[in-house]
Amino acid sequence: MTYSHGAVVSIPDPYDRRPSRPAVVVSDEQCPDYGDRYTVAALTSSDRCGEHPYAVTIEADEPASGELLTQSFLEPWATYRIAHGDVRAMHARLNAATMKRIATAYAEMVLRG
Amino acid sequence: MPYHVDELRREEPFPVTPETNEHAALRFLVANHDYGFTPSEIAAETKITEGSASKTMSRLHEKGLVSRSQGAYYVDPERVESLKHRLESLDAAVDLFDDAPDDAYANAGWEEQLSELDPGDEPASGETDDTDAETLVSTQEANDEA
Repeated sequence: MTYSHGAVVSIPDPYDRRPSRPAVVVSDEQCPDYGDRYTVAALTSSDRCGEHPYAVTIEADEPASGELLTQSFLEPWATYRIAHGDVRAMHARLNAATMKRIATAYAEMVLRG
Repeated sequence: MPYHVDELRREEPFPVTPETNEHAALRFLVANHDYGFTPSEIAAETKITEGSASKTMSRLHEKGLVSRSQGAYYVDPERVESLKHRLESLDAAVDLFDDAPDDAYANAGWEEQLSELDPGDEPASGETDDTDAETLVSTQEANDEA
């Protein structure tokens, strides 16, 4: 069992003090370690983060399957390498159009940086 | 063909909490994986007290994370890489939570409000996009110039 590219997953707090955080798997089978661990980008519903020019707005009902809690923002600058066992569950799968907007945000961030 | 033990454990949350004695000891043994150390030696090299080092190492051994021989503890050479990855993942998850803003996802129970999908379900056909990165960047540059 593997979390595929575009999966919206929940990652539990290592200290078990706070609710899980949502993130999107942005790596795929062409990345090293895919399956054992993933590159994920953080999701937030914070409007303050959403105001950032590189943030990607994703509507709650936008995923191809499942849904988000509310309108959320992907933070391309906040990426982490998370082991498979440290992912709790999958809640949605983003569609190709959303992933393309995310890819564009990364391209913008790198090109203009 | 039998499964490697790390494949069987791949699905499980890592049984070590950051900033604990177990975490410090395991991190030390992974970083110094060419050697075995007694609890006293581990205490001398970390912030673990001499009095708690033996219990800490026994717990790590019971959890199957370290091996023991002649009173010394060590990491199985075959497991160094996977344990290193798990410790790195733990650090990354700590960073993710440290960086997280106070938002709707900070409220307990948000996961229960959403459905849980089976990761094994493949995306429906037609959902993939074959746009290559070069095209994406070219489009972006054209948009920027416009």
